[in-house]
Amino acid sequence: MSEQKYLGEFEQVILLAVMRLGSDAYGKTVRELLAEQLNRDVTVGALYATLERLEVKGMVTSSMGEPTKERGGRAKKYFKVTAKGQQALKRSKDALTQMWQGLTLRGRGVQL
Amino acid sequence: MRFKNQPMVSQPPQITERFLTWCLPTELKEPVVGDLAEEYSQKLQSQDYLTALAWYQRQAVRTAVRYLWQNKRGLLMFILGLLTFLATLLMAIMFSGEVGIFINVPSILVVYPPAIFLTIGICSAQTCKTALRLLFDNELIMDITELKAAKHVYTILGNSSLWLGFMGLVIGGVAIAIDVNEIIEHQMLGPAIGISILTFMYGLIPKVICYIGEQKIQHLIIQKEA
Repeated sequence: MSEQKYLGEFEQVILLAVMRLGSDAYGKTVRELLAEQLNRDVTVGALYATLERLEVKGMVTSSMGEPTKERGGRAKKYFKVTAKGQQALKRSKDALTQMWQGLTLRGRGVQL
Repeated sequence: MRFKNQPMVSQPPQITERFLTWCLPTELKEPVVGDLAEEYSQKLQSQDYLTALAWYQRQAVRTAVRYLWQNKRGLLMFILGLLTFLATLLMAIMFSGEVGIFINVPSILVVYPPAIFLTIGICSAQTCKTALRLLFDNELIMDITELKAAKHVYTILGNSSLWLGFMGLVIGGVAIAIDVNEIIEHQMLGPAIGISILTFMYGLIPKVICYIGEQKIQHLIIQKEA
């Protein structure tokens, strides 16, 4: 049995958002993307708590940007998904794909 | 577009922002508070001031609460311990009868002002201020010498209060002994002894609180030395 754990759903969503945003991935843009794409309103605290956890696990790295006027002179914290993060994403996706294979949902209103 | 009830300044509410900044760990202060300020400023352009304000308050409070326990646990437990001690003391006073019998201005004056003046005189006002801040601010960066100086404040304040209180008890005892016959005659022995002991109690209360402060700083010293 594999020792490596799979990512949680929220962790996957955040990693994917950071990857999509590329060099412009910081707290506000990640939140905006989640709201636009998934209609999910995430609090800043929840987002940063997860990003911190992912950083500790080595799945993202962060770097501070320049302070800007509209932020009251405070800097942005940019995030980037590491190779380890990408591997974890792929592993989670493969696991889900594997589990979905040959499965048909028959409930009302849930058709694949 | 500017709404009728929108203020000229697009700064987030200062009190909430300060509270949030206080709750956050150092490394997250800038990005989190900055993100919220930026989004708040954008929301003010497209939404009513009150809607934007409500959004900011909700986000800031939820985030602050999330980090409050994680980041300020020591402080919260310290305050809780202190409040429990004071509440228990107050409850004991109230259950024992009239609250008024536990208040005696001359006894208060015998203990507190001299103890405070002695402490400031020995340690300097700045060190006393730092010692007080240390109890409520876990992020103060200090070296071992400064921590030891702050700890010394609580040692002096606690011990001075205790000894002054004890002195009050002895003075009361002497005064009673000298006039014991007259005091007994006027049926004043009980209140006279009570006031003497009250002075000692006034000295004991700060001693307990200072002991807690002392141990909190001692813990920081041990952490630094490790």
